[in-house]
Amino acid sequence: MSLDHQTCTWLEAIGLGVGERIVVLRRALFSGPLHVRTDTGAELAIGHALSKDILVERTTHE
Amino acid sequence: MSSKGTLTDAIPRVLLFGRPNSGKSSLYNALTGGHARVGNYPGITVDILESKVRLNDGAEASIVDLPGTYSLTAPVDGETDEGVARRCLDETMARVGSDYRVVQVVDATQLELGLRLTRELVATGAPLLLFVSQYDRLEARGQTIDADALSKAIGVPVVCVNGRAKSAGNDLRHAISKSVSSPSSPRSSAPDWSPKEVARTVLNQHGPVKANHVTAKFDRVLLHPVVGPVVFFGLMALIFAGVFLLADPASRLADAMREALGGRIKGWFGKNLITSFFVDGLLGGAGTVLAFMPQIVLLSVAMEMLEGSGYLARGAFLIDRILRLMGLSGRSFLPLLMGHACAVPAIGATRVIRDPRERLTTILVLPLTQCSARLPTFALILSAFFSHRSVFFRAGVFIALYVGGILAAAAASFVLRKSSTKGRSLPLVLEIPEYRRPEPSVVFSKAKRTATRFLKDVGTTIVASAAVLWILLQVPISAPKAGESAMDRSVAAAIGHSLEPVSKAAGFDWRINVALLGSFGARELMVGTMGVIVGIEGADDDPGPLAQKLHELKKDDGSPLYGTRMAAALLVFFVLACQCMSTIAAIRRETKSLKWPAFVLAYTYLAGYVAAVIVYQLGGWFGLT
Repeated sequence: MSLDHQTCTWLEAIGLGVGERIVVLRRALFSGPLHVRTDTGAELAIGHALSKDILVERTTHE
Repeated sequence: MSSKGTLTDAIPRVLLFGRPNSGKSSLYNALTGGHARVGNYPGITVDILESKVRLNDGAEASIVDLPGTYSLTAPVDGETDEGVARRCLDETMARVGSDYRVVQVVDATQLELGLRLTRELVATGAPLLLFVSQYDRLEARGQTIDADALSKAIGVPVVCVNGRAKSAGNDLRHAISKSVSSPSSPRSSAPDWSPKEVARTVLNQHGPVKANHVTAKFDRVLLHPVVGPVVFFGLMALIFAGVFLLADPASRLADAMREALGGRIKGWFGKNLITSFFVDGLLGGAGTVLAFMPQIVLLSVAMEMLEGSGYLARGAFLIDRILRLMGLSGRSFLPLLMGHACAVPAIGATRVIRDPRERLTTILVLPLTQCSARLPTFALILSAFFSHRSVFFRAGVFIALYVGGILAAAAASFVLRKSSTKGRSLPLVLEIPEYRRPEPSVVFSKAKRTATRFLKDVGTTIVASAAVLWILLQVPISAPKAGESAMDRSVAAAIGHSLEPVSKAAGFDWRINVALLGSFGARELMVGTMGVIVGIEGADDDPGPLAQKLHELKKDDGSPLYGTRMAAALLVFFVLACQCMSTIAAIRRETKSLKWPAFVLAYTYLAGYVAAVIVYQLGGWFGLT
C-alpha cells in the first residue's frame, strides 16, 4: 500500500491489512466504490480514491 | 433504568466492547430490558448507555453499552463513536480502585477479526470475558467453534451464544456473575498467539462450507451497477409516496373524529369562551396535530425495517459516488437518511463519520433534510390548496418536497466543502453486513416509541403552546376598529403584523407569521397554530376540516385570503428554514460552539426567505392566485 502509517493501521484493524487476499465482487458505476470480500469473510465497500492507493497482486480468477 | 454516560463506582462496571455491528446492543437489551438502538449497520450505537442489572447471585452490576471499536491502537478522532468508546475504557481502567470487567462481544462469523481486538484488549491487562455471538449464523454455515480450545489458546473465558436469542441475556448474566464473584486480577502481558492461527485452529468445519447464497443473490440485483441505483431511488420514492398515500385515510379519520368531538362539545356547552378554549384552542391546536400520527409512525417503521435488513449499508455503497460530488461520502448516508425521520438523532449519528470535515459538513446540512415534523404542514397545505388535483399529483408534490430538501442539502454541502470545511477527506471503507430479516419485536418497539414520543409532545408542548396561543389571540392590545374582529387587535396579531413589512413579499400575512413563530418550538405547531387561529375566526361556523376552512378564508372584498402561490411559497420556506429549536441545540452540543448553530439559523432562514419570495413573485407573474 502507498498510504500513510495511520491509515494503514486503521485499514488493518478493519480487515484490510498487508498480505490480505481480497476478491473484488463488483464496482459501482462512474468510479464509485469497490465491493470486496476479504479472507476473513468480511465484505467491505472501498472508496475509489483509496482503491487506487492499494497495490494488489492478481493471484487467481474467480 | 437507563442513563447516558453515568459513572457508578459502588458496584462493578461491565463494559460491552467489540467491533461495530457485532451484536453488543442486542445483548445489552436482552440483559437489561433496555432500548438501545439496534440495527444491521456498522456504527449504529453512538452514545454510551449504562444500566444497572441484578446478577444471578443477587449482587448488582452496571452494564455499559459502548459504540463499536475496530482497534485500540489505530488513530481515531476523539469526537467519533470509536473515540468515545476508547475514552470510556481508558477512564474506567485509570480510576483507582475501580472494579470493572470488559466483555468483548465477537461476531462468530468474523472470529479472526474479533480476535485481533481481543489481542489488543489482553495486552492492556483488563479483566476480560469473550462473548461469541451470532453463533446460529456460524452453524448455518456448517461451522462450529471449540470454545474450550479457544479459551485455552487466548487465556480468556469464552461463552458462545446466539445474540438474538432471549437466552443470550441469561447466559451473559450468568457469565458476568461468575466473573464478578471471582476477584478481578488485571494482568498486563503481551499475548503470544496469532489471531489467524487461533481462529484456524478452533473453527471446525462440518461438511462443505455453506455460503450465504441469499445475500449473494440479493446483492447481484440490489448492488448491480445499473439496476441497483434504479431500485434504490424507486424504493425511496415508494416509501415517501406510500407513507403519504397509506396514512392519508387514517389522518382523515382522525380529523373527522376531532370534528365530531368539537361539534359535541359545542352542542353540550353552547358557544362561549370556555367552549372556544377547549374546541378552538386545545382541540384545534393539539387535536389537529394528532391526526398526523399515522404518517409519522409509518415513516419510522419503514426506516427501521431498512436499517434492520442491512440494506442501508448497500445504500451507502450505491450513493457514495453522488455524495462525493457534494464533498461527502457513503459514510454520511446513514445520518442524512435518518434526518428524514428526525434531525436530532441524525446529528448524533454523524459520529460514525471518521473525517472531521465531512462530519461537520453533514451536521450543517442535515437541517435541510425533510424530517417527519414537517409532514403535518406539507399534508395540510397540499390538502387545502391542491385538493382539486388528484391524490397522485399531491403525492408527486410531496416527493418533490423531499427531493428539493436533498438538492438543497447537496448544494449547501458543495459550497461548504469548497469554503468553510474544505480539505482532504479520509478514505471510505465501510462494512457490508449480511442481509437479515428485521426483528418484528424491534420494529414494533420502534413504532411504539415513536407514537409515545409523538403523543407526549402533543400532550405537553403542543397542548401548552396551543393554550398560550389561544390566550394571546384573545387578549386585546386595543379596541377593534370598524370591520375588524377582536382577534385582529390581539397581542399575537400585533406580533404577526409587525413582521408583515418583511414577510409580505413572500405572501405571508400576520396569521402565517404567528404560526411560523410558534413552530420554532416544534414544527408541528405550524398546523396547530393555524388550527387555533382558523378555529377562533370561524367559531360561529360548523366544524369542518382545517384544510377546508383554510381554503375558504376570505379577505374583506370577498376574494380568497390565501391562494396557490402563497401555499407554494410557504412550502418552499418550510423545506429550507431550520424551524426547530431541538436541532439547533443538537448542533450546539455536537460542534461545541455557538458559531455553527448561528450559522445554520442564518443560512437556512435566508435561503428559505429568498426562495419563498422568488416563488411568490414568480407565481404572480405567471398569473397564479
